[in-house]
Amino acid sequence: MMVLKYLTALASKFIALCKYLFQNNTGLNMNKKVVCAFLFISFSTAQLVDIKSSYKDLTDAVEYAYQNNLNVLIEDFTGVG
Amino acid sequence: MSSALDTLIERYPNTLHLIAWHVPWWTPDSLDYSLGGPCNLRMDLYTTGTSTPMLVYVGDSIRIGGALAYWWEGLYPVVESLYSHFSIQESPYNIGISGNYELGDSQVNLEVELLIDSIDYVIENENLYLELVVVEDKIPDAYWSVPGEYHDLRDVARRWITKNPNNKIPISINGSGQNQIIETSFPIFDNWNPLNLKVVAMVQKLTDVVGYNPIFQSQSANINQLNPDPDQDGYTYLYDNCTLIYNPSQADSDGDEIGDVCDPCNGLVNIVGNIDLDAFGGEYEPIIGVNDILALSDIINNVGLPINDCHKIDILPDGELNIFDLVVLEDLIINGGN
Repeated sequence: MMVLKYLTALASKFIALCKYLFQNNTGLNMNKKVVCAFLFISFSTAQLVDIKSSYKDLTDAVEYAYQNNLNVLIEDFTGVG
Repeated sequence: MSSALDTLIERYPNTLHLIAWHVPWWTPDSLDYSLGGPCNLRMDLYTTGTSTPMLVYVGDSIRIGGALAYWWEGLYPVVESLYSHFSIQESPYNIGISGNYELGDSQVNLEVELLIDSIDYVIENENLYLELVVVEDKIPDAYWSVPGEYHDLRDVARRWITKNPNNKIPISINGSGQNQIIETSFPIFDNWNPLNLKVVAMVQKLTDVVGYNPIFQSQSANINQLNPDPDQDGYTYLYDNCTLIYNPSQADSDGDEIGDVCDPCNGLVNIVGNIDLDAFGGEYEPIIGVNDILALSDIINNVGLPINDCHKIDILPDGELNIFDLVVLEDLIINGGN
C-alpha cells in the first residue's frame, strides 16, 4: 500500500509537470511531447538510477564529501585500530 | 576495522581524517598504544556504558555494533541520514596546521590557525573548542585473528593534547574573517615512528549531552610537513587558493576559491545544465542545448559516458537525479536558460 501511495504521488507530480509544460511555451510543444513520452516510458525505472539516493554506505558518503571538499572526521572505537 | 578504512584514507587523504582509539579491554597489554583514560573520555562524549565497537562520524553520527571482526562491510550499512549529515556540514571554519619539527627532535612545536570565512552572520561559539590529537599511522605488524594475517594499523591515537581541562582551547572568534592562532607543543616518545606522526585538529562543541558533541571542522597534518607555505608563493595555507602549486597571482577565473592552476572543475564550463561540458571561445562560454537533454537522458538511463566529479547534473536541486531533472533542464533550455 505504501508503495502504491508513493507511486501515485509521483505520478501526480509527473502529470502536473507535463501539464505545465504543455500549457507553456506553446511554440515548442512538440519537443515537450517527445520528452514527456520518453519520461513516461522511463518512469517505472527511474528510481533504479537515482544516483544520489545511492549514498547508502560509508564509502559513497566519504566520496561525496571529497567531491564537495568537505572534511570528515571518523573516530574509530573498535579497539583494533 | 582499519582494513576497510585503509582504502578510504588512501583515496581521500585530504578530506578524510581518522582517529583510531583503542578500547582498553580489547587491546592486549603487550601493545603500547592502549590509551585507557583518553579513550574512555572520548567514548563518554558519544555513548554510555560499553556500547562498542562503534564509529563516530563528525562527532554526532554514531554507528554502534559490530559484525564479524574484519568483515567490515557488515558494519557499513549506514543510515540514510549519513548523506544529508555530510551535506549539511559546510563549515565557516578553516584550520591550518603548521609548526617546527626536524627529524630527531624530541618535541614538535605547533601553530594552529583558525580562520572564519567571509560570512554575514555571527557564529554562536559557546562551548566550541579546538581539540588536538596526535595519531601514528601505519603501525606495522598488528595481528588480526579472524583473517589470520598481519597488517598495519592506521592513525592510532597516541596523545590527546587537549584532554585535560587546563589544556582546553576555547574558540574565541565568531565573526567574518576573524582568525585565532594557537601555539602548543608535544613530546615525541621513543616508541613512536616520527615519520608517521600526524596532528589531527578539530572544531568541536563539547556539551554535557552524551551523543551530541558535533565536530564542525577537521584537519590533519604530518609533523614532517608543517611548512605553512610549501609552494613558496608567499601565501600561507589558509590564504593560498592552491597550497601545493606555486601561483603568486592567485588567479581564480570561476571564483570558486580554488586557484586555476589546481582547479579540476572549471566553473565556467561546469555549470548547471551543461551536461555534455561543451563550450566555445577563449572565455569558455558554455553551450547548453538539445545535446545536453540527450546527454542527461543517457545518464539517467545509465548509458553513454559516465558522469565525472565536475558534473552539475542535479538540475532540480533536490538531492536526487531522476526524470524531473530532465524536465527542468528541458524547460530551462526552452526558456533561454532562466
